[in-house]
Amino acid sequence: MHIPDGVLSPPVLAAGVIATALGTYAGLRKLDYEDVPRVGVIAAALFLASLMHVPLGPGSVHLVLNGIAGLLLGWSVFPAFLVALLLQLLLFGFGGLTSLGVNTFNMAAPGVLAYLLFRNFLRTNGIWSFAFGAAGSAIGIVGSAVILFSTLLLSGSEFLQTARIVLLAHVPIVIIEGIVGGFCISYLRRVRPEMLSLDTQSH
Amino acid sequence: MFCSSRHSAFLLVISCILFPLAAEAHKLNVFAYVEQDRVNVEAYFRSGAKAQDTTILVCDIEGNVLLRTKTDSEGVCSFLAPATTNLRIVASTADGHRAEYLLPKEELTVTDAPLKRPVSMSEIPSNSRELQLQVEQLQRSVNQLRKDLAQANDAVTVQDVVTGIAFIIGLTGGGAYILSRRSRNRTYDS
Repeated sequence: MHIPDGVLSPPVLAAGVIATALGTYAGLRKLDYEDVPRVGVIAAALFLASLMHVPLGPGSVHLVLNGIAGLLLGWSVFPAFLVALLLQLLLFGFGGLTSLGVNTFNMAAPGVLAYLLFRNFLRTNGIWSFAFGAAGSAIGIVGSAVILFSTLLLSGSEFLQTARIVLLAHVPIVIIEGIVGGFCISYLRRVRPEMLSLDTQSH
Repeated sequence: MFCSSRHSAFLLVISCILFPLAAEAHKLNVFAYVEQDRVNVEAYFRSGAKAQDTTILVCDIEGNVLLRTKTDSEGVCSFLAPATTNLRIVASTADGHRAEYLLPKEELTVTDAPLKRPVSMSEIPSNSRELQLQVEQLQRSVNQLRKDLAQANDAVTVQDVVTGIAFIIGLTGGGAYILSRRSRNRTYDS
């Protein structure tokens, strides 16, 4: 979710900027020439993801794709999200300038966590690649919800009720992103395993 | 590499398939207008859903809270203007969404404003009640127009999406160029 300006406290916003700056630095340092097109394509997908609404009950939820982006990009998910969220802010008015750091960290950090947890398991075949892709995508959303919960709580106790609602609101999107992520990873495992950094295994 | 990056467009294909499902993101919007002596506030999400039970703070320009209220099940609330000044109307939902609308004081005093042009006697209906109804109808139409305009200004357009994608393509090309020069220099050095 995009936190707008004026919701979080200054220390939380500052911490978000620092954490995002460090993550982006790490992501850019690890970026090779050959990885750049992949980061660009996924940044474009992340940029569009918030426009993809899945109707659900009386409302709708939108995709985040942070888990799968993390699985595919590793630390480079930080610069990819930074660019995507900056453009969403400038062009769509989502989020806020002061909260850009927190929002980027909120979405990119769980992606990195999914990458660190599952990067070695994506080499499995069949249903397992689906399962690990789904798990990585689900962890991305759960991680975002937990960070959002924490940032709201750290910004004031009046957000306790809010934070609970935020956690509940993420349940449907965890399931949807899990399914989308599972299909993506199992498809890439079969068709383009090098996308999963499996070049040495596949050829 | 380019082959793999072409196939990496798989994610974008998914985007295109899902795109028709897309409405707009859960951005909160708030709109306010004056009807007779009351200020009406409507809070809604970009998806079109009414923002129910949304906290509405009415502040002056200095940020002093003049009034605090909540929207009903239709995402609407109505109140007497707490002061004849520029009003900053802040809507915030329980899950951290926030939006603002500035209601200029001229709107609050519009009923006292002098007519911009002289009105001939023949234009004034004989029945003053009829005139009153016409004015109210006109005001409702203007309010609806302003609301439509605010929504249109806030909508995501195809141009926005294309601009964003083009920016990312440019950034990707620039990044690839810089990194390729760096790796080429390394090759020459060695």
